[in-house]
Amino acid sequence: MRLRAALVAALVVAAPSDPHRFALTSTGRVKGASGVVRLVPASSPFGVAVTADGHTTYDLTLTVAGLPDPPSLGAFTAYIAWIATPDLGSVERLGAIAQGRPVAGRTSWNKFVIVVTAEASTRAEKRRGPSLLVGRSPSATMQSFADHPFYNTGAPPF
Amino acid sequence: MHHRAIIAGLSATLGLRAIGAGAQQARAAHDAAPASSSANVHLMAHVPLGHPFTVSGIEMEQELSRPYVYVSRMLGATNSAGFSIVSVKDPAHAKVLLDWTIPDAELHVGYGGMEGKYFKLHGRYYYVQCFQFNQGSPDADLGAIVFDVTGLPDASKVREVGRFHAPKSATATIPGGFHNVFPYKHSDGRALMFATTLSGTYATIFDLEHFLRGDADQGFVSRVPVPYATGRYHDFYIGYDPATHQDKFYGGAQPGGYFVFDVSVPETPKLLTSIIVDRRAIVSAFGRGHTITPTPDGRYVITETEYQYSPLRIFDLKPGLDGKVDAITEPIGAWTATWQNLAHNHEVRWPYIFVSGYEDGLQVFSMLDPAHPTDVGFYRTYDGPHMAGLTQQMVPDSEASLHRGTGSVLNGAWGIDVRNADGLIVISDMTTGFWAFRLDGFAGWNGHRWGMPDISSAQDWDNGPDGAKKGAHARSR
Amino acid sequence: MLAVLVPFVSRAAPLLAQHAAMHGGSRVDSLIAPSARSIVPMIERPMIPGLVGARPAITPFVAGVGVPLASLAAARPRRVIDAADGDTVDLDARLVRRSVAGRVFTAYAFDGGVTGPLIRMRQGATLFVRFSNHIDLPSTIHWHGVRLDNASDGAPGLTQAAVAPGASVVYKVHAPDAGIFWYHDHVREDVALPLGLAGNLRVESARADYYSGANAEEVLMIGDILLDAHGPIAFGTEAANFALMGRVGNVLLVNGAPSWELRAGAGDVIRFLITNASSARTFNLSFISRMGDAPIKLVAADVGRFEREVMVPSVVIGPAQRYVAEVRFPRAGDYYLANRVQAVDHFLGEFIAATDTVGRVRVSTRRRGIDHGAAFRTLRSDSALETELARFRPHFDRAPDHELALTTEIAGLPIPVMQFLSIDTAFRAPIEWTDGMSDMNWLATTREVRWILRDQATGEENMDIQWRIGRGDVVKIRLFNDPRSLHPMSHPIHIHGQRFLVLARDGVRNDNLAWKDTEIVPVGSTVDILVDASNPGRWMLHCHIAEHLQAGMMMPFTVGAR
Repeated sequence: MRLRAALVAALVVAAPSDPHRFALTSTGRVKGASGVVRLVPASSPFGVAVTADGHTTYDLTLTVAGLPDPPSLGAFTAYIAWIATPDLGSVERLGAIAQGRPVAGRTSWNKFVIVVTAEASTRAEKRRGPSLLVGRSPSATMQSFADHPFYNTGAPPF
Repeated sequence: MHHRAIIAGLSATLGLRAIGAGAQQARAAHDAAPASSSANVHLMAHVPLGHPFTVSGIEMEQELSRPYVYVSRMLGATNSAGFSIVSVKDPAHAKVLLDWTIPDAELHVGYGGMEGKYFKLHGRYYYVQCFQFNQGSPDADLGAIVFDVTGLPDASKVREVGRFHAPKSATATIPGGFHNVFPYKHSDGRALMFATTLSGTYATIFDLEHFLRGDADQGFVSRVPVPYATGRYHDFYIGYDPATHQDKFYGGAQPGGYFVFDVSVPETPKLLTSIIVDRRAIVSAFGRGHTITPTPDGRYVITETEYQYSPLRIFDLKPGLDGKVDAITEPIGAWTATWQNLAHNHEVRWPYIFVSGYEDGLQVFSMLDPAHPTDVGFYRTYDGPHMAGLTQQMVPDSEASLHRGTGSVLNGAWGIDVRNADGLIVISDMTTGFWAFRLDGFAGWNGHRWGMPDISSAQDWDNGPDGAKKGAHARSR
Repeated sequence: MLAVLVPFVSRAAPLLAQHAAMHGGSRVDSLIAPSARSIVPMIERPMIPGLVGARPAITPFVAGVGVPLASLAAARPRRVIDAADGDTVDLDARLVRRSVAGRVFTAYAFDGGVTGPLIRMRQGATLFVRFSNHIDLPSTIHWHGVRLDNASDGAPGLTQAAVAPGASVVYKVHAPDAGIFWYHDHVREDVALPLGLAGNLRVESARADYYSGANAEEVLMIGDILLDAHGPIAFGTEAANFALMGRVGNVLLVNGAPSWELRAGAGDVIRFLITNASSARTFNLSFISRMGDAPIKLVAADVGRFEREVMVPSVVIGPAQRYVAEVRFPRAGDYYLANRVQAVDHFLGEFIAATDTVGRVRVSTRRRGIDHGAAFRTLRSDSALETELARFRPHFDRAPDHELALTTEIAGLPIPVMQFLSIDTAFRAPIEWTDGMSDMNWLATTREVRWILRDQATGEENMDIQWRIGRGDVVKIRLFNDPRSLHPMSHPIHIHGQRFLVLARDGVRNDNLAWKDTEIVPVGSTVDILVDASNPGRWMLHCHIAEHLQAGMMMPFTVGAR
C-alpha cells in the first residue's frame, strides 16, 4: 500500500500544469512517435460550455509526429485516433491521421483517453489494431486520496 | 504424543545445527564483503522476465504433479500487467509457459498484477491474480481475475472464468483493486477467499464456489474490519489453530498495526487480539502493518513493517490470546539481513522463515528460539545498486525512470514461496525475475516432524486444515 | 494596496471590541451563537487527520451578538418598489430574524426583506436612495452593473467612506441601461451577501420590444448559504475565512428562500431575469421534468441583449452575473428549477454528478394568456446593438492595452493543508462547481491567502495598480487565469461603472456579443475583453468571489479626461 501511495503522489506531482494540453506517449511499439492534444473550451455565450447536466465541453485538436508509414508495422494502411472513456466503456472514432494535419473533435466526457491505433482501413469504425500512442485528459489523471498517507493516520480511540 | 514431540524437536534441533553451520560461515563472509550466496543455498534456476519493476508476487502449486509457479507482473507503464506461469517440472531448467497480459495493457496505469494464489475446487485448479489499477484506467475497479489452470502444462487451455470487482467502500467506489488474496480451505469445508482492498477498512471474504457459479454478489460472505483505525489491510494470513479449533485471520493494517480475528464463523469475525506498539502515534512507521505470518501453532507471529531499516519483528501472541493484555505492544525478537535495507514477504516453515528480502534477495533464518533468531542461508537475487527502488519521485509513465530508480530500498526480491513436498524455494525479484533454489538439509516440510501442526500457507484442498474436526467440512472437496 | 481593505477590517474589529467592553471579554464567546464554534459541514470524506481540532485563525463573527433573536422582526419576503424618475427611496440595512431550512438566526436585510426590495425604474431615470445603516458592521451599497455617477458607486475607501452603524448616505442612481441589475453591500461582502444584503434593480427599456413577449416575468435572485445545525457557519472578524474557494453554501436559495414556486399554463413563455448573488458558487440552471427539459432561449446578459438570441441547454451563471432567459413550458406538469453540475471530489479523484432542485414551476393545462410560442421560436437579432458595436469593431483585433494575470499566494496555512494543496495538482477544473475541500477552505483565512491581480507589464499587483484611462477610450484587457499556483480557481471579474464586451476566450473569437460587467475567467483560460470606458471617475476592477475580494483581489482604475 505504501508503494501505491507513493505512486499516487508521483502521479499528481507529475501532472502537467497546463490544463488545456496533454501529451500522447508511445506505447513502445513505435520509437520516437509522439503527439499532443490541445483542449479548448467549446464556444458558449456563458464563457464555459457545459451540458445541461454539467459536463464541460471541449473542442480538442490532436497532432502527432514520428509515425512511420502504416505498412511498415504490418497489414495496416492508416492511423486512426479514438477517444474513449477511461474504462473503455465508450469508444468513438475521432478520425484518420494524416501526417502533419491535426485531427479535431469535441467531447463532454469528464475523463477520457485518446488512443492512436494502426488499422487496416482509413474507414475503420472499430478499434482493432495495436495501440501506438496513448494520452489521458488531465481529469483522468486524478487519483483517490483514500489510501494516501494524509488520510491513513487516524489515531485509535484509546 | 508428548514423546513424539520431544523426539521431533531434538532431531529438528540437530538438523538445524547442521544447516546453521554453513550459514554462519557464509554470514561471516557476507559481513566482510558482500557475497552472492551462502554455501548452503543452491541456485536451481534463474529466468529473467523482462523490464525491471515488472515482477511482483509469486505462488507455487504444492502438488509435485503440478509443477507450476505463478509470477505476478506489474506496472501499466511497461504494458506488462498480468502474470507469468513458470514450469519447474525440471527445476534446473525452469521455463516460462505463459505470459498473460491484461487486454489493452497499454491503456492501463497503476501497479497491475500484485499477488496471486491458486486453489483447488471439485478437482479443478484455479489461479487468482489480483490487480491494482489506478483511476483513469480500464479495469480500475478490477480486484482479481480467476483462471482455470487445470489444463496446464498446455498454456492454451488456461482460461478466464471470472472477475472480482473491488467492492464499494462505505463512502463511494474507490478504484484500486485487491492488493492481496488468500484462498483458504476453511474448517467448515468451504473454499473461501480473503481479499484486501484499498477501498475500505476491511478485508473481504468470498465463497469461491459461489463465485464460480456466478452469484451476483461474487460469493460475498462478510468483511473482517480493521479495528479502531482508518487503515487498510495490506497482507494477511489465515490459518487453523487445532488447539482452539479456530480458524484465525491475521491482518497487517496500515495504519493500525496487526490484528487477529477468529473467523471460525466467517460471517461474524471476532477480534481476538491486537499488536499495537505505539498507541499514541499510530502515524509512526510501526503503524504501517504490512505482512504478518503466524507459526504453525499460532503462538508467534512474524511481522513486517514497510519502511527502510525495519527488521522483521517477532511477537508472542499468548498474552493477548489469553486476555492478559488489551494489546500486545512489545516484540520478543527481531531479525534483519542488512540493517540498511528492508525485508518484504516471508513464508513460515517452522522453525525456518523464508524471506524475500528486497535488495537482500532470498534470506532464511530460524526462529527456533523466537527471541533469538539466527541466520540460516541467503542468496542475493538482486545485483543492482543500493537505493534504486520505487520512490515517490518515480514517474510511472516514464519507461526510463523504471530503469533508473531514484532512491528507495523497494527493489529486488518481492515474493517467495516454498513447496512443502520437496523444499523447493522460489523467488520473484522485481528487477531480475524468477529464481528457484534448494537449501541444504531442507528437503521438504511437514509440521508434524517439528512437533507442530502441519499448518502453513499451503492449503490441504482435499482434506481441509490439519487438526480440524472431521465431518465438519464435507461441502467443497 | 490595503487602502480599501483597511476600512473593511478596522471598522469591523472595533465592533467586537465594543461587545467585549459591554459584556466582558471572557463572555464574548459565550454570547456567540453555537455556530461560531462548530466546524464546517463536511462532504462524505474524512478530515485530514492533521486538521482534526484545527480552527480558522480568526475571531468568529456572528451577526447581532448581544441582540436577542426574539427581539428582531422576522425577515419578510421581497417587496416591489416602482420608482418614478426623481423619486427618493428609503432603504436601510437592519438586523432581522431569518429562518432557513429549520434554522432561525440573526441575519441582515435591506428594508427588512430577504431579498431586498425589487426596485423597478425606467431606463434613463434617476432615483435617489437614502441608505441608513442599522447593522453591526459598516456598510455601503454598490449598484452593480449600473453606469451611474462615480460618487454613488458605493466602493468604500474609493468613492466614499463606509457608512458606520447608525449613519446614512444618499445615492443617486441613474440608469442608462435596460435590464436586470442588483445592489449589495460592498464592505464585507463575505458576511453581507450570505446574510441577505442584496436586492435587484429592474430597469425597463425605453423600447417596448426590447424583449419578446412573454406570459410573465420573474426576477430570480439565486444564492446559497452555509449552515450548520444552528445557523450560518461563523464568519471572521479580523479576516474572512473560506479564503480559498470562497464560502460555498450548502443550502441553495431562490429569492432568499430554499424553495420557490411558480404557476404557469402549458405553452406559457416566462421571462426569467436571473441574478447570482452567491459569494462563490457558479450555477448551471435548467428546468427539468419527466417530460424533458423546458427549452431555454438566452436573450440578454448583464448590461444588454446579445447580438443574437440563442437556444441553450442551461444557464451558466457565475457570481454577480445576470442573464435574461425566456423559457417555454410546453406541457402541463411540474418542471423543476435544477442546478446540475459535475462536481470534482478531490478526495476521491472523481467527478460526482450533483443535482440540486431549488424550485418548481407547476404548469397547468390552461394557458394564462396569449400564445407567445411563435415569438419564442424566433431567434431575434439586436440591430441596435449591431449599430452600436460598429464603433468598437476596429478595436477587436488589436493588441491588448493591458494584461492581467490572476493568481494567488498562500502561506502559513496548517502544514497538512499546504501539503495537500501541493500534491492535489493532477487536474485543474475550469470551474469548481462545489466546495470539494471544505475543511481546508474553512481554515484558510485572508491572512494566509492572498488573491492577486497582476499587471503583466509592470508587475504591480492589486491596489498598487493605477491605470489611467481617457474618458471615451476603448480599452482592450487580456485576463489570464494562471493555473500554476497552489490553488487556481475560476474568477468572476467585475468592472465597476463601465461595460465591456467579451471578444475572445482562449483565442477563439466570440461571435455573439453582449455588454457585460462581470465575466467568468476559468482556470487556465485567457479572456479578452473590450471596455467602453465612458463613465468618468475612480473605479474598481475585482473578483466577485467575496472572499477573494477580501483577500485583496481588486484594483483601482481612473477614467478621466484624455
